[in-house]
Amino acid sequence: MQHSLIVIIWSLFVSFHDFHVTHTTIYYNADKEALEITVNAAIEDIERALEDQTAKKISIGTNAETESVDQLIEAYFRQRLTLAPNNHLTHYQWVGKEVTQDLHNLYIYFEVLDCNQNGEIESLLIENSIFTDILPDQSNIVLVEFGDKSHNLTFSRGYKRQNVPILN
Amino acid sequence: MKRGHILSLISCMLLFSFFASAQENTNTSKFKQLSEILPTPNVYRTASGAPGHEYYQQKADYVINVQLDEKNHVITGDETITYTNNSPDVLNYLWIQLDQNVRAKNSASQLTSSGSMDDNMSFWSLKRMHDKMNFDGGFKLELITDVNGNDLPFTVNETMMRIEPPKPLKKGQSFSFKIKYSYNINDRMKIGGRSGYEYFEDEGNSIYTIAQFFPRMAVYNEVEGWQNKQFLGRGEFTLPFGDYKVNITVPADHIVSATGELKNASSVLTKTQIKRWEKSKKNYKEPVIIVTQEEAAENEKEKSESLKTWRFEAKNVRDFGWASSRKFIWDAMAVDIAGKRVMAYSYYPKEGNPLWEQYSTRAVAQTLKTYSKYTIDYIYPQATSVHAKSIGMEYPMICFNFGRPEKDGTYSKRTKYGMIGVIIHEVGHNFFPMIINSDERQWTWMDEGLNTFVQYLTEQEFERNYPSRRGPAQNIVDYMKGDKSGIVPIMTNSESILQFGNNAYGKPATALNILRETIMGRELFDYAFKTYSERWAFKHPTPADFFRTMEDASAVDLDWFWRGWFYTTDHVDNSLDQVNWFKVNTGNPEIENPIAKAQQEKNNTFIGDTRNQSLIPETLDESDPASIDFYTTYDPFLTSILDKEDYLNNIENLGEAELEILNADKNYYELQFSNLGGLVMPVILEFEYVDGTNEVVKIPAELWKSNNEQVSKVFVFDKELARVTLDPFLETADVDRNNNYWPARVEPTRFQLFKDRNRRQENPMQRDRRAKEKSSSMDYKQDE
Repeated sequence: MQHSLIVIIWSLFVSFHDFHVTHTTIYYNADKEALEITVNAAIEDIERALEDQTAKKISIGTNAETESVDQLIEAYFRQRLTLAPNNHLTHYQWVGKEVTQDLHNLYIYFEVLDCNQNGEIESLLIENSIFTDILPDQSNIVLVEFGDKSHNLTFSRGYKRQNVPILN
Repeated sequence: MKRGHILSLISCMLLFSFFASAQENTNTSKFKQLSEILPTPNVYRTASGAPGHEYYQQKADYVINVQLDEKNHVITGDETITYTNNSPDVLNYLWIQLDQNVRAKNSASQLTSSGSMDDNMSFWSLKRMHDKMNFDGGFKLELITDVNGNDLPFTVNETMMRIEPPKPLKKGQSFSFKIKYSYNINDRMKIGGRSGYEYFEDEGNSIYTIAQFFPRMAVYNEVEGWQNKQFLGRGEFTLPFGDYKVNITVPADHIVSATGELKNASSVLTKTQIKRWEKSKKNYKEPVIIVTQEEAAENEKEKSESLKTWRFEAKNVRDFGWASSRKFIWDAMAVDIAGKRVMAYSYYPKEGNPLWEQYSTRAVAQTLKTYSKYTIDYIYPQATSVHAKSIGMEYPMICFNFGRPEKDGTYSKRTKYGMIGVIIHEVGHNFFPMIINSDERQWTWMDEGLNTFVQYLTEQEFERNYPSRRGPAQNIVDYMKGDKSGIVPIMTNSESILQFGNNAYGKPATALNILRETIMGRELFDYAFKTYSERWAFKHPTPADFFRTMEDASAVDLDWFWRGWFYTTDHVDNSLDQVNWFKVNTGNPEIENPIAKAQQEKNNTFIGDTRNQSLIPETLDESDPASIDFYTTYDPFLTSILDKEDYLNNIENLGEAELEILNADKNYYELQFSNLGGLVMPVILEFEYVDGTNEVVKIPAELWKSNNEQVSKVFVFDKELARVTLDPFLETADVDRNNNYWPARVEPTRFQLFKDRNRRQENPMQRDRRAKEKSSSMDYKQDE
């Protein structure tokens, strides 16, 4: 009988850059009928994820940042964060990015326009595997806000898919 | 049913209802005193949070000879440990920590760490997994004997070893024993670790940052007994104080940095290096370079085959760390701490420049000064910062810190502030936990949280607008409002903490900042914090000692704060629900009647009435005057002469005090608040008046005492209010500010703000480029 691989991982604990959490907010803007997505992630981790994929040195938020960086970031997140309102996979568009005040993280903004074309959103299926390819102890938190209802979800390496009921 | 049965049934029901009501009658107030949870004060730790009159602590002295094998990356060593039992208890066995065993194949830490596969795992991640599994780590113990060479019975349980002294150890007695051992040093870049080496492939040289390199004593005290929780990798170290003599044998061309003071400089340093070192001891203004970059670069080129031994001594330290490399540049500066000289050292390879030469020693010096101000004067002889890739880790008087520029010598702002921040943080650890020696294995927050807090204070003194990561209340909001199943209270043992960084570092540091800025104020806080530091310097404090001292020294009741912030995962979400405006009824019909009439007209009207106004063209009384009488046109709001007379009579009968209130014509505002998040906090209000002025009022958290969930308060003003804001200066880590305003106001989200800012399609760099082009073209025009 073939045993499934038991993965033994000793999480590297470094006293200083110590934990790996991203924070995503998905906010439904009723006036604009748009989903506004804000992702907060550590720049170091984004650079490492991109370097891993492209085998090139990546710099974000510095003078050495190249123009193609935005596209690379967008492509990475498209892969690792997917949204399906009413089980209908929906692409989101790039809005922009900015470095946080403490210089450590990046806010990345995406949006889905006209997302209510097919009537009310009843559920939102989210797949979130940001950085789980490079960091075993990665946690990804998602806050979904629709009107006055909010849902708080945690994703991790073994747990990357969750469905959120919007209308109950 | 038989009678007996009925009786017993009834008594059962009574019993049940008794218990049920007893449960409902327990004290669930958020202001309940904490003493029920804290350990009972005793002769070892007082109720005021100070060491008791029979407080004791053990001592462990070490004489260690250690040798570095550079070719094979192996450490061999032999040590003599002298353990002194100052407790009133008789000890039949002693526990020793074997931290390297966490890297032994199939160690418990490897097995208890959960893991998973990802569909798209990177090659790097897989390789790391393989390297860890294949590494032959752990202590290889050769000999464990008493000082005469007789074998001692011992048992190894993963990272803990138990030995038995030939006779049980009584109070005041010491026991000495020897251990001979070796272990493989781990390549940190491959499999991680707090210590190890970094290999520079193109040169064949390494930087060794060595710690946990000897079997060392565990702590025995009246709180835990033996603190022999396994080292699983996350919760750090708990260690007794003692004196160390360490002899480090390395290749002759290495420069060694270590805890303590170098005792045989003339044997290991050149005359020039010694001369420069002496010069640095007199320079309090800027670092003096003892080994220059050119010398280090030259030194790197060849590998000496001979060996040298560096002798270090340190008194009253809880641990020992060292670093060795032929790549090291070394600079030094003197620092004045309360009239005594402390040396600040930095060791770094050329890869750390220009950043390290400029900032490292300066950051060390600043840290010593600021931390000494807020805690205790630093009394060790030196503090060292060693450059090490991808790590920040602390040992007494020496720490390993990241911060490496690009190969071309340029660096980003993030690299610069990251480096300064980690140096401040790691040097700060000399205070927490090296001197104020808490149990890191059990309570990570006691050193990390407190250290991160003072780090924030130090950063603010380093530069204005320093980009601090942790400190301001708002920065912890995202963590605290998160999914509660994903967070745990601060008072949780280190190994079970979820979201470790936020829990053990960010939240406690933020809590202390809130205490300092908002709850206690700086003066009361600083005094209490210093008192805690002074009480427990060179001793072992527990959380209760900290909680008790902060209250005892300030007369501020903090039990509600500790309970909420440290023992629960509640967050702060206070809302301003309603503002009701009252004025005293003057009784004067000429004033009050128009007001009442206007009030009535403002009131919502039935839709039928509104329609009727326009749709019914004429009523009977409008067409037939004969149907009109007194009541048809009676307006209850008109003022008659009799009304006026009545009013004046009433006034005459009023007393002076009542008249005063009447004539003051004040505005009474009743504000209603809700505590939605669970944490009670002070209520800070900014009142903006119709005339444009404003005022800030701060009400202590005790406002919530009578009702933890909802409370109202009345304010009396001369002026009329236009707007009220709850927590205007972002002090309480309120997770939802949309319910903080009257009139109601919704704050734009970060997304919306970003979009508004970026309606122009440029990014700051592009804009700057355009600006430069424009101004240079303008210069050109001026030259014409």
